[in-house]
Amino acid sequence: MPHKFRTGKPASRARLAKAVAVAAAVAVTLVACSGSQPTANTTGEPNGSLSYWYAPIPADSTGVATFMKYAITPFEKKYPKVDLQTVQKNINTLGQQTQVALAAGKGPDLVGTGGIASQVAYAKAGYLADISSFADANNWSDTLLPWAQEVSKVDGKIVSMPNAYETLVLFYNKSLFEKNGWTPPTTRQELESLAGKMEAKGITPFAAGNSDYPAGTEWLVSTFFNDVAGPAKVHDALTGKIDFTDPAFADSINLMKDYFKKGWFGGSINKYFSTTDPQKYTQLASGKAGMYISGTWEFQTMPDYFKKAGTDFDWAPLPSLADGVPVTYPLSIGGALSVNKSSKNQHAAETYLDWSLKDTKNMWAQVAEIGADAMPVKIKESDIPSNVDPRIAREYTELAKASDSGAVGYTTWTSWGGQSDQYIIDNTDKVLNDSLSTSAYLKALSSAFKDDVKKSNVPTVYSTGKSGE
Amino acid sequence: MTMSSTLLSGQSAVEAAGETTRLARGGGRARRRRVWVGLLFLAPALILNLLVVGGPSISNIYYAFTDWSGFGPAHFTGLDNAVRLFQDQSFWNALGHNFIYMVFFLTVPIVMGLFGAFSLSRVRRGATLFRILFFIPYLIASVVNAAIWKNILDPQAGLAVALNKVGIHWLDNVYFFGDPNLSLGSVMFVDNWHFWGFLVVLFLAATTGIDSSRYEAARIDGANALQEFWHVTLPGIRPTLLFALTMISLWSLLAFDYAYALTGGGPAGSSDLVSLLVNRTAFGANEAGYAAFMGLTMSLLSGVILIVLGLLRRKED
Repeated sequence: MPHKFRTGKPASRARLAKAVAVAAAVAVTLVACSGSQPTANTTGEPNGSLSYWYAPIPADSTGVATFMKYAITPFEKKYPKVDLQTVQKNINTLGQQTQVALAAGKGPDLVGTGGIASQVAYAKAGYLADISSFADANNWSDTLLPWAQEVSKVDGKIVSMPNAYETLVLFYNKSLFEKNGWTPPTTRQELESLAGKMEAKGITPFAAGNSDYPAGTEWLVSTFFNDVAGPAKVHDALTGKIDFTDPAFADSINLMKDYFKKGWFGGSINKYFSTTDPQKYTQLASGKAGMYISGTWEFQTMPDYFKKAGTDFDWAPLPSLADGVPVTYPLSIGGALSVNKSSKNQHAAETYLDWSLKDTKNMWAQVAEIGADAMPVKIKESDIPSNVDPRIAREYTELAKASDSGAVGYTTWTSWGGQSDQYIIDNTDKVLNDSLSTSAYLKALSSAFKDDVKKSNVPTVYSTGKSGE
Repeated sequence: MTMSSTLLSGQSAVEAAGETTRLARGGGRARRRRVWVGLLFLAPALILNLLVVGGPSISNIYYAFTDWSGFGPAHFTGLDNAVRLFQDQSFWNALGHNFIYMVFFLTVPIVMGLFGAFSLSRVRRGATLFRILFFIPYLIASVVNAAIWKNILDPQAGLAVALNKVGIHWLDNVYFFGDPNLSLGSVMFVDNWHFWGFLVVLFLAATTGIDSSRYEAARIDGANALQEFWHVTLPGIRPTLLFALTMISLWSLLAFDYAYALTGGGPAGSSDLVSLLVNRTAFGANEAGYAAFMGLTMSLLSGVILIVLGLLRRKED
C-alpha cells in the first residue's frame, strides 16, 4: 500500500504535467493559427472577413431570403474575396445588443441601425470610424441627396451612410374616394370639410391605432408640427432659435388633440389606443376609414390588405393645416450603416457601404419586389425601372423635387435627440387623454430637447426646410 | 499500582493522549478538507454570481451617480439623479402602479391560491388532473399568455364580438387594454391568471406536510371545513405562506413582462411600471445613468421590504 501511495503522487504529477503541456501546445497552436490569418487589404480589392448583424423584416425565412438576395449575394458576387458573415438578430433587441457590443470594443464590422439618432450617439462615444476621406475619394456627394450628406456627419466628420429614407404622407382609399367623388385635401379647410362628409356617411376619417406600436403617435406629432407650425418653425426650434414652447407648437398639438376629440383618428381615443395594425389596415381597405397618415414604409404592408378587400389605395402629400405653411414632406431616415471603429477590416466595410450606395440597379429591384425604401440618392424619373409600383416611383420623384426645392420637413425620430424623442413617445398620449396639458407637455419637451443639445445628441439639422420661411 | 506500572500507565496515557491528538489532528484535517471540498463545489456558482450579479451591481451603483448615456465615458454628477428622480412624475406614476400591483398580488392570488389548495386537498378523484390544469398557465411563456388574452379581450375581434353575435352587448366599447382606467387592472388580471395556479400547487404541496392527526383531532372536536382551514391548514403552511408573501412583494417591484407585452406601459402611462420606465430610459432616451439610479432605488426599496418582513417574522416568532 505505501508503495502504491508513494508512486501515486509522482504519477498524478506526471499526468498533470502532461495535461499542462498538452494545453499549452493547444494554446500555442491556436495562437499561431489565429496569427497566421492573412491580413485584410487596406486598399484595392477588399478581402478578408466582414461581419454584419441584421434583423430581417418580416422576421421569418422570407425576410432572411430577401435580405440575402439584395444585401448579401450581389456584394459577394462582386467581391468574392470578402467573406461576408451575417448574424441574424431580433429587431427588438438588435439595438441593445449592438450598443453593448460596441461599448465592449466588439460588435460587427458593419454597424446598422434603424435611424440616425443611435449613430450620432455611437459616433459621439467614439465607436464609429471616420469615413470622410473614403466618402470624398469615392464622390459620395455626387450620389447622396444634400440633406442626407448633412445628417451623415457628426462634428463635421462623415460617420454613417443613410441607406433608407421615407416620408410621411396621406394614404387614402382610392376606390372610396372615386365612388364618392372626393379628392385628397390640400388645406385644413378641405380636410375638415372632407372629414365632415365622411362622418356623415359613417366613415371614420382616419384609420388609426397604436395598440401594436405605442410610439406610433409620434408620426402624428411630426405631421402636425410640420403642417401647423411649419417646417421653418421646426427648423428654428431644432437649431435653438426658438423654443418648443412657442405658440405655433401649442397650436399644432391642440389641433391634433381636437381632431382626436372629434373621433377623427380611429373613432375615439380609447379605440385608438386599442386598435391593432391589421385592424387599421383592414378598416382603410374596406372603406370603414377613408384616410391614413403614416410613413411610406407602409408600401410594404398595405397592398396585401387592399388586394384582399378588392379595393385600391393611393397617397397624396400631407395637407397644409395653417395659413402660409407649405405642403411639406417630413423626412425620415429608415436605416443607416456605419463602420465599427474596432473593425479589423475597415476597407472591406467601407467598400460595402460604397457598393450599397451605388448599386442602384439592385436598390430598385428591391423596391420593385417588396416595396422597400430607396436610398437617399439623386434620381431622375427615367432612372426608375418600369416594374416599380408607380405610387412608389411617384413618391421618390416627388421627394427628389422636394429635396431640391426645400419642401422637406422633419420627423421626431430622425431630427430630435434620443431624450426628447422618448419624451414625445411617452407623453403625447397623456395629452390626448387630458392627463397632461399642452403647455406642460411642451415645457417638458423643451427641457428634454435642451438636455439633448447639451449632450450633443441632436443629429445635424439639415437646412432644406428653411425654404418654408 | 507500582511505580513502573504507574510509569507504564503514564506512558500509556501519554500514548493515548498522543493518539487522541493525532486523531484530533486527523479529524481537524478531515474537517478542513471537507470545508475545502465544499468550497470547491460552491466556487463555480459563487464566481458566476459574483460576475453576473456582483459585478453589474457594483457598476450600477457607480453609474447611478453619473450622467452615463450608455456609451462612452460617464461623468460623476453627485446627487443630480436623486433630485431629478424626486421631481420625476413618470417615476412616481410607475412606482404607484408597482405598489398597486403588490397590494393586488398579496391579496387576490393568495386568497385564490389558498382556496384552490384547500379545495383540491379535499378532492380525491382527479386531483392530479386539476393540479395540472391549474399549473399549465404558469408553464406557458408570458408572451404567449399575453397574446392569447390580448386576442380574447380585443374589443374589435375577441369576446365582445362573439357576445355581440348572440345579442349580448355587455362588452361593447369596453377597451380592456386601451382604456387608461382599465389597462392596469387588465394587465394584473392576465398576470394573475397565469400566476395563481402556481400558488395553488405551492400551498397544496405545503398542506401535504401537515400531520393528518391534526385534522382528525379537529374533526373530533367538531370543526367544520372553514374552521379546519383556519385552525389547522393555515398555521400548518405558515412558513410557505410567508415565503410566498416575501417573494410576491419582491416580484411586484420587478414586474415587467405582462405589462410590456400587453400595453407597453400605456396607454398614456396608465399601466407603466418602473421596470418598463428603466428600460425606456436606458435604451430609448439613452440615459443609462439615470436609469441606473432608478434601479438602485428599486433595490433599496426591495431591501427595506425584506427588512420589514424579517422584523415582522421575528416579532411573531
